[in-house]
Amino acid sequence: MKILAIDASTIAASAAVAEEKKLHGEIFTDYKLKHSEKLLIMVDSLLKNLRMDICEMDAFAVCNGPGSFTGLRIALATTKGFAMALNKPIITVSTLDCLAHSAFHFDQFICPILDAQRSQVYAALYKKRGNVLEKVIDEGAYDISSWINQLKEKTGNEKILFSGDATLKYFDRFAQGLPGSALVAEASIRMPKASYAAKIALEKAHRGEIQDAYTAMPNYIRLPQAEENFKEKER
Amino acid sequence: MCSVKILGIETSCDETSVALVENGRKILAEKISTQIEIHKQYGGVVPEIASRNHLQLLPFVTQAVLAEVKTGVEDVDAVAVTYGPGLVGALLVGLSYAKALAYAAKIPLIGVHHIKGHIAANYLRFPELVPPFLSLVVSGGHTSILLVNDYCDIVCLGKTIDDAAGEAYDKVARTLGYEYPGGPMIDKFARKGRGDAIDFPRIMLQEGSLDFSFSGLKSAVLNYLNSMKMKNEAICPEDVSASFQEALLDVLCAKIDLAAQKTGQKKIALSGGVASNSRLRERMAELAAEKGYRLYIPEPKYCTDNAAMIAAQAYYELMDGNISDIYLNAVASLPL
Repeated sequence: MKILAIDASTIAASAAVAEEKKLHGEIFTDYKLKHSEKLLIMVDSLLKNLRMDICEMDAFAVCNGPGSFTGLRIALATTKGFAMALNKPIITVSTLDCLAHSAFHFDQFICPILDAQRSQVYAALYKKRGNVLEKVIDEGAYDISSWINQLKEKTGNEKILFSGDATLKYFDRFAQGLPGSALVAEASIRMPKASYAAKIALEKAHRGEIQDAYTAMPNYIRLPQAEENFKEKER
Repeated sequence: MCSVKILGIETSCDETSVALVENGRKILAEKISTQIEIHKQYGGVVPEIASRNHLQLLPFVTQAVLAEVKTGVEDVDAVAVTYGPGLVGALLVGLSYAKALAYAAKIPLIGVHHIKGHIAANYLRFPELVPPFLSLVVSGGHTSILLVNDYCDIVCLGKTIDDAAGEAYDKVARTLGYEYPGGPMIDKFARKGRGDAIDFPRIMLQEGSLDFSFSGLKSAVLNYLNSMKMKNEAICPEDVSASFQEALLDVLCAKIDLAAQKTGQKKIALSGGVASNSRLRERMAELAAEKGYRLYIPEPKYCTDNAAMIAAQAYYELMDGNISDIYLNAVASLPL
């Protein structure tokens, strides 16, 4: 099964083509790019490099969040466009899962965190058990201090590897709150990468967890601000 | 004549619309999914909510259009999409989708300017209309007088320097307590009021100018309502609606008349959401009859945002060789 995966959940963007047990190619950028301009160019240049045509793809994979609302929509809309034109399925992958899998070989705790603004992070906690990554804390939008407390509770004194676009922004607070435990993932696995989304998507495809252009949607986690305010007022 | 079928996509504000149009003139199928009911409770369009809905709706709306003519993407010759002006987050959804669709289907992508689309709405309804002609585009976001020399050669002769006409309608309506969207409510209540009850200003700007300014008129209405409240005097919303509307329409009519005199054009095509206002249509018809102008106004459905008009303009862009590349981006404020 040949799969094209894309990600635009954060300021970084990437595209990858993979098949079972083989990554054919990947393009990753994290440098002052507008996703709306670049995402399709990245897909195009990757396919040209691989001498492949988009019609050869059996499915499209996309990181569906959490992350930047606009970035998620650009990636999802792009994937939906491909899927509509070629009548192919879509496989959505959690951006946090994608990040956690890029640190798969780390055998203590893995904590991907994405900037959710308003002093919050979108986060989850993972740990490898045997050959699979298990979610220890489910994904959500957490206040930094409450997230630190949850981590303390679940990890004891084990090491926690932080990755994601909020890592550097909040690392001092994590280092302070979790003395001796917090580690920063190296740059090459700190941002989400489409290659890992492709790997997860292939596994999901084999389990039949497949969607299409109609059903694939972002996992925003949060309601639109206006809707939150409205509900607040109604209470 | 060969048949060129263009799939138009429009998501610049709160309508999710897709249409299939043949040779810029004939609508083969179209769908407009409006989000008015969703945004009503917020008193106006919420960009984040509009964007989320566009993303959810686009594949369904596309499929409904293609199914109606029992065709598939493989029978489409080009994809057209609004790339600006509009709400950037909303535009980005339609644009990203359209780019991917065109790329995967290996057909040309045509980015269309939203205002040019509004003008082209007239081509769908009036087969005899060909450039040159004058166009007045009046909506919640725009108020412009344009000289359409040719399908793709359009010159802006005048535009609003502050509020758009539709914006003034919405703000006055909100102050009067009418529910969103307020324009149609003013149209309705003005029918029961006197247009000469209150003397609101007609702001013409300098002699000979084709530009508009509506923020002064809006403020005058708000000041009037405030002063009546201070004096504890009752207001008549019908009279306020009618007097505001007449003041605004006096300006629109005077300016389009001036533009016709300046350019010597006798054909005038209207479009944009405010062009569905019943009193505007009456006033323009009176002006046209008096001065011997030929007036074109599409029915309300084609005055408001729709994808058919985008596909119509795209046909002429395609004929002119204006094909977009995959770098095409959404632009919130885009000059003609």
